[in-house]
Amino acid sequence: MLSDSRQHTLNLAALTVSVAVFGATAACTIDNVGLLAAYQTHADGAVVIDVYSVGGDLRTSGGDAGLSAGAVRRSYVFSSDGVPPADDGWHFLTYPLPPSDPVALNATVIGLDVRAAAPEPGITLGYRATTVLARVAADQSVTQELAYWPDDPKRTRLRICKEPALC
Amino acid sequence: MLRVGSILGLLAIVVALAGCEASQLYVGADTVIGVNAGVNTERTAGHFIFGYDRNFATVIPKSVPGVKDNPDPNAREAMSALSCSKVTTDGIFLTGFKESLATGGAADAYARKIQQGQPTTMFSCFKQ
Repeated sequence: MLSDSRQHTLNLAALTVSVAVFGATAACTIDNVGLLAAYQTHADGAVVIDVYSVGGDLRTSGGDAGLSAGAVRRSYVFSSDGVPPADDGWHFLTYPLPPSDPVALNATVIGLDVRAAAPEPGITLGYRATTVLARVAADQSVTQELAYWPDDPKRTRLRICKEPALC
Repeated sequence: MLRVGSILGLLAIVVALAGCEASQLYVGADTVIGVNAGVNTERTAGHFIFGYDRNFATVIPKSVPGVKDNPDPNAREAMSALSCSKVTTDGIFLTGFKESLATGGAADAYARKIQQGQPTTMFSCFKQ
């Protein structure tokens, strides 16, 4: 038989856990808006944005389209051209999107992950880590070098050569 | 019931987006622990995984218009690509990537430069 105060503490703990679980599952992120925290880092020729979210996460952009539910960490590598260093640091609920498409991305999901983007649309229940280092249209001529450590964004190095004769 | 319907609707939209994807070259890696099912749109092949799987791959479009030295305007060939990848692992996880890539005309130009021994500031992996 538990005392009243002990029973009250247990009820409070159960309520806290319930609210946390409900909040996590009911929370929603759509693209760069929602219950998220993002950290932007300037590196050598690149800008890395790490995005953390819990709950539902819907992405509508072509190369990253899909839906996740659970704990999600997404990391995007952009060219640093046109991205002000003043935007570096933490952003909450939304984050500024650089003007160009990401050069590379890394996504880690624990939970349910539905991926709609080519080359392999699919569904995962459990843990999934996906890295896309290049996505180039069939008629495009590009030259790039990327060194990328998803857990150490400051080491990222991106070089894009626009004129092969000069590189 | 309404919530289940909404989720199914969202799933349908997400899956439908896959059909809009243009033919592209991909370099990427995938690590799965759990249950995974997927379809490869390039090869129209599917897979089902239960447990652990990891892969690193380059997917190259097989049919690109404009074949060099071929007057036929409908002629097609595989996309030109010159690629060099270095992957760092920590246990079962992929932790670091170094990728050098040239595609299309740039790939042809770099292949010629390397073959002729001309200096380049890219593709250090091909230097002897």
